[in-house]
Amino acid sequence: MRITRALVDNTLLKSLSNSNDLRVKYFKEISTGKRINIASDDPLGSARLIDLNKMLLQMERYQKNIDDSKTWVQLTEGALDSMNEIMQRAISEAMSGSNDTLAKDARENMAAQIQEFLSSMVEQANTKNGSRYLFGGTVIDSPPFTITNKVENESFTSSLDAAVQLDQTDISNDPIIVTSSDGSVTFVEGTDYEIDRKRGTITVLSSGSMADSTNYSVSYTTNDASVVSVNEKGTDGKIVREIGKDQTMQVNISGSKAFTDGNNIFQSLVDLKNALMRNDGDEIRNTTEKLRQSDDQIVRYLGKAGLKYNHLTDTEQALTSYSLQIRSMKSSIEDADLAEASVNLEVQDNAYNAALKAGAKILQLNLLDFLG
Amino acid sequence: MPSVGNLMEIARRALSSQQIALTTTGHNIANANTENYSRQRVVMQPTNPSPRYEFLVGTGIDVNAIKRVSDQFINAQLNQQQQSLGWFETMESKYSQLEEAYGEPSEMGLSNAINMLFDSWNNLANNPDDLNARDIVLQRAQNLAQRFNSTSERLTNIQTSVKKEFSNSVDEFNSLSKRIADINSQIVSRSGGSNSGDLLDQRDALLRRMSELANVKISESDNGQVMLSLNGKVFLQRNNYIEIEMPKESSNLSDLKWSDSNKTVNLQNGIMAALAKFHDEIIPESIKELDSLAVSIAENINSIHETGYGLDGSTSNRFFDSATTNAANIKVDQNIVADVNKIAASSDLHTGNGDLALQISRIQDKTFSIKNKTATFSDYFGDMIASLGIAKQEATVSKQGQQLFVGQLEQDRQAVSGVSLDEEMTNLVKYQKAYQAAARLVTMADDMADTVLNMV
Repeated sequence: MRITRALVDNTLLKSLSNSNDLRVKYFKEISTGKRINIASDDPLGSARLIDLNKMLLQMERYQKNIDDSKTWVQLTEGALDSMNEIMQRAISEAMSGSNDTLAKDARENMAAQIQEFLSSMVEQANTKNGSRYLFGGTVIDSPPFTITNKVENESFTSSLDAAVQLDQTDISNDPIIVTSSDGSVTFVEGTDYEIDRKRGTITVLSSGSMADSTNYSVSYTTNDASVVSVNEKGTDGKIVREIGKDQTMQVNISGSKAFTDGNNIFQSLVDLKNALMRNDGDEIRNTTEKLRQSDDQIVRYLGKAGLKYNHLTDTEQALTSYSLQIRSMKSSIEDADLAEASVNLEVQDNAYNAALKAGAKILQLNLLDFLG
Repeated sequence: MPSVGNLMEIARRALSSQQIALTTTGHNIANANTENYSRQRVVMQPTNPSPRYEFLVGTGIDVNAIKRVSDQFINAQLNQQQQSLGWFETMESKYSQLEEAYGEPSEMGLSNAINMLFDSWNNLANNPDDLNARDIVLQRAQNLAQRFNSTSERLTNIQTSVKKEFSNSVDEFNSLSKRIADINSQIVSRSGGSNSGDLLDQRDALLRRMSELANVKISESDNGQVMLSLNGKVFLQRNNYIEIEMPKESSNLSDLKWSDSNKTVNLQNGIMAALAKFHDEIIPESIKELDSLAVSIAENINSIHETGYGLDGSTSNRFFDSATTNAANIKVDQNIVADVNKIAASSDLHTGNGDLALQISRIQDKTFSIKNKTATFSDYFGDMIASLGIAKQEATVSKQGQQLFVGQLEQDRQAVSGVSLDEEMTNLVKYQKAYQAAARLVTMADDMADTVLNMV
């Protein structure tokens, strides 16, 4: 085969070019640290990477959600723990109060203490986590529990110019409404009747328009802050967090389920207070039992919260180890083996060098050098 | 009867012939590096002997022809293979552009934007009343829409530039036809027709370029002219040729027409065919896939979103604009842009409820029917990217293989037609010596003539 100048040139250029292509490829790997810089470097690997990146972002989200959930559950446990403590003290108080040798005053003091316990309980039940109520479900603009003063509606039989005892004492200064039993006629305080607010007695005045020995209706508010009502919008809304693939967890406990359904823990405290106020030993002993049951209920929910927390930590552990695996998979697809690429580059450099040297020699030899 | 005059004549012929040989050698040396040059060889033959008594005496030498050394078979193969090389080179280059338009795998790409959007919905599920969380959802959605828009734009731009390239190729093709036709007439206008080595070299180069552009069939007639046909239609004969023109009514480049008959040219191979395929099929397909993905994401989010309630209690709100029909026009609904309180995170009016936001977030793991495939958004997109990458890889491999083959043919052509300086140097010495000897002959003949003249 004839060898022409052009053939030699082309062959040299081609092999130099091929060598250079490889050098650039390895250099790119080293400088970016990545095996895959565009999809065609490894199409299937790229598709895999797209999937792995999605998974990694999701796992970061699950971790955030787990952290958020742990906070919820911990705060819930804290609140329930406090409520349990209060209940224990109330039970202790009740047991002391059941001693019939106690004076009426002593029992009235205890009642005041129970009132304090009730306020604290409601406060705990309204604990917030940021802008949310722990036990309020998905309602965030109003608290799950409110204490209001007791409103009483009752009927009494009049006794002219004599004080008739109403059911409640310590009536508030809010307007009182006295009507005929059918509600058609309303009477005026001071003119038709008088109220002793502290004692809770009503005296029908003979100078007024009311009759003797007749049934009338009266409606009034007491100073007794003992009506605990549940938010009418409900507390059952679910606060759910996604903590894994196809795995969600409800992090909240419904306030009504925990505190008013089954045993109404607030009512049990109110009942104790009333029994103490009435100086009724038997009643005190009855309510002590109700208190114990209420406390059991709280403790049960405390246990549930504990289980939730354990589940979260277990899930977190599994997530961490899985996440590590995924990262490792991603690295093995995506990352350049720097050692390998460096060696390859070195080898290519040598080859390139050798080709250049040899090429230089070939290029120069010529018959012209030898002709005269 | 041979005489001194004859000797002089022989010497003259020798001088002239060696001089032509030297000139040709010089021509070869001068063109040693010219691309497409085929070396020329002088064919010398002894002239007819003249009779003298019973034997014939030689009368010297004459240059019979200056032959262009070229292997027709190799040339034909080269032209043939050039078509496929043109095709694969174009495919590789365009697929590469297509890949770059998507730029995956990357954090700046669509796949990441999709993941981030669904992550922001999950975050909103945890904090449905938080304005900051809402702002993030809006921002990520706008980011996704914008990436869809710009990717779509890039694809369309590639399509436009391919069309421009195609149009330029059409012009080049026609210009090549004209020049080849010209050479055809030049070749015939010389007598003999086989001595126009340089013209033939020029024509070879033109034919090679034309083969790169399209699947042209070349046949050479006895008088040295070529005839060109494409898919059976003869479009260049002697010095007449038919032009091709860009399709007027159709937007498909493959509807390229012959200017004389309105018949489709029907390209099968070569650069132009590859450009047409890319413009008419490959890019539109990719755009459709992208559009399907965008529409699916928008529709599936909207259908859930419309059933939910915003912080302001409003419902039946769309999240993505209802006029979204493709990747170029997907955008967030302007009511949401104006007021993030309208983002529906809840299925009821409780402001602390994020159940709908969670539901929306979780559709990233659900499969949908997207353009005849059933997959998650991420898998569908991953498939698209992998297919593109594989297509480019295949084009690259084919191109490299074809390059090797063509390279080998090139070498073969070089071996036959290329100028070897060593060889030419040798010839130079050879012809020079012969020239010197012939000059000697002249001196000799002159002396002999003198002698004769002085005899009398």
